[in-house]
Amino acid sequence: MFNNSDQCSIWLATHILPHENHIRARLRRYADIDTDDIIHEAYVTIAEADWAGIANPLAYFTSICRNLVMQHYRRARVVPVTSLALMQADTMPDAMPSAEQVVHARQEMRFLEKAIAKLPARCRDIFILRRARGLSQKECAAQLNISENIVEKQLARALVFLSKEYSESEREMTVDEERRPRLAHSRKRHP
Amino acid sequence: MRRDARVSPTLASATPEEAAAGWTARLDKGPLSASEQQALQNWLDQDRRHKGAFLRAKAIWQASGRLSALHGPAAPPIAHTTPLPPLPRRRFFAAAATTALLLAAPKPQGKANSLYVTANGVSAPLHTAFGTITLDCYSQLKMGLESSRLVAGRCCVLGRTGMIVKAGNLIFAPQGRLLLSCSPTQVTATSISGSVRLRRHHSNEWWTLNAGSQISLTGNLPPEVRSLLPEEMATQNAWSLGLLEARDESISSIVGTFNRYNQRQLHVSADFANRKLTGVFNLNQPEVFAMAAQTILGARLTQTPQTLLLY
Repeated sequence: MFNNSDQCSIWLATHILPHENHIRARLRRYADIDTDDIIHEAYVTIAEADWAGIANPLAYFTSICRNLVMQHYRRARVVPVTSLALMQADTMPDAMPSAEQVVHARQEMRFLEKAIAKLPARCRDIFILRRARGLSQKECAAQLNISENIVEKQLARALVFLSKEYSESEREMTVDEERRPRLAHSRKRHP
Repeated sequence: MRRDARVSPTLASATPEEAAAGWTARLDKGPLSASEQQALQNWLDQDRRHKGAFLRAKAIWQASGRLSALHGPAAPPIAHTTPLPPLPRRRFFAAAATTALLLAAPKPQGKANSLYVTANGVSAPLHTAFGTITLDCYSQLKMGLESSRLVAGRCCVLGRTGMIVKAGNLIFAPQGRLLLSCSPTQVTATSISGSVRLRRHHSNEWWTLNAGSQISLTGNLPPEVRSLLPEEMATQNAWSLGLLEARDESISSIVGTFNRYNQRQLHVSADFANRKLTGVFNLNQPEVFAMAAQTILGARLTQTPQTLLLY
């Protein structure tokens, strides 16, 4: 499972994570279900599958979660009738969010930016230096004159916080007014 | 945020999310020692949900890399967001000498001013002395001895020093992979890898577009430059790799794209036309897409040698 783990993480980040909010909202309707457990199990199932060949990640993610809920109910002694009715009503096409509901890449970025802004100052500075500016943990430590250990711990804190934001926050579904595009690089040629 | 968030991966009291975050941050620092490796493995083996939390933490870590599109690289420490000034319009070949230095004179190669035209299919890569040019469907390219011109449609240029491609009012010298599109009103260039130097006709000012950046020029308006996210790049580059990347795109729009590239035409009933799909499909296999859509939508599929009908 952890071979090609970087590619797998990138794939999960691109194709699964953005849909998590939508799937969690659906899972929360079911009684006696631990949403976190289902989501975690789904990640493992997807990572163990031939994820690169999954043509429709959202539909796949939805169906995996649905099967896991079903498995859970099969094992349970008492299954809430309302949940069974929901399961039957939940069909794959219904699971497709509309264009407005999908968090697009740029919205995802704004979401991240806002989430990061809520971090305590030092934690945020370290996270931005490492993830946005691309400094290594060692370089972050040197730049901020702190130990590498602190950098590592603060990055983990930021990650725990982001994990909660992804789980709990109602993502902003409206597109912010696009900022003026940033010029990556331009240079006048000197003859 | 809790101030006492337990983030040490080896703390017994840590929640799966905290331990997963701790391990992800630890792995980012450097390789694990043998004992750490063992501790991680033990933790993963303890519970399948630990594996899920770990995979998810790593996915969130990857997703957070998107922030670099907002904040830019480390050097220089303060990212200057210099606006691109309008390129001068009336300096006629003033930099001919410098241009000649910059662009090694190409050897004659192929026919002079051959016009390549594509219909419903992507061309094979067209070889020039300095790389290859692949034409998208319904596109036209004029290939000359020293430069090529995209007349209409789209192309993908894989260039090295010496490659010159023109489109509309712009001249490009790509070193890497460049996507170009040209309509009567607009030229758009996207640098996928490497970099591309460009200038307007009658101008001696050269600009550099790095990988991940896109420039659009509409008429005589100042050019617009934006940086693209990896997903946007993948979507835009997909056709040149024989792929169609749909992100929450309507079935009718996806079908329209397939029909541009294939003899075998897809038709979809009104019931499904506005349904949205996300996925990566082989551009040249509409039947594979039709079967996937059939399964996902619960639709019926009727096939003839020339058509595929989803209803």
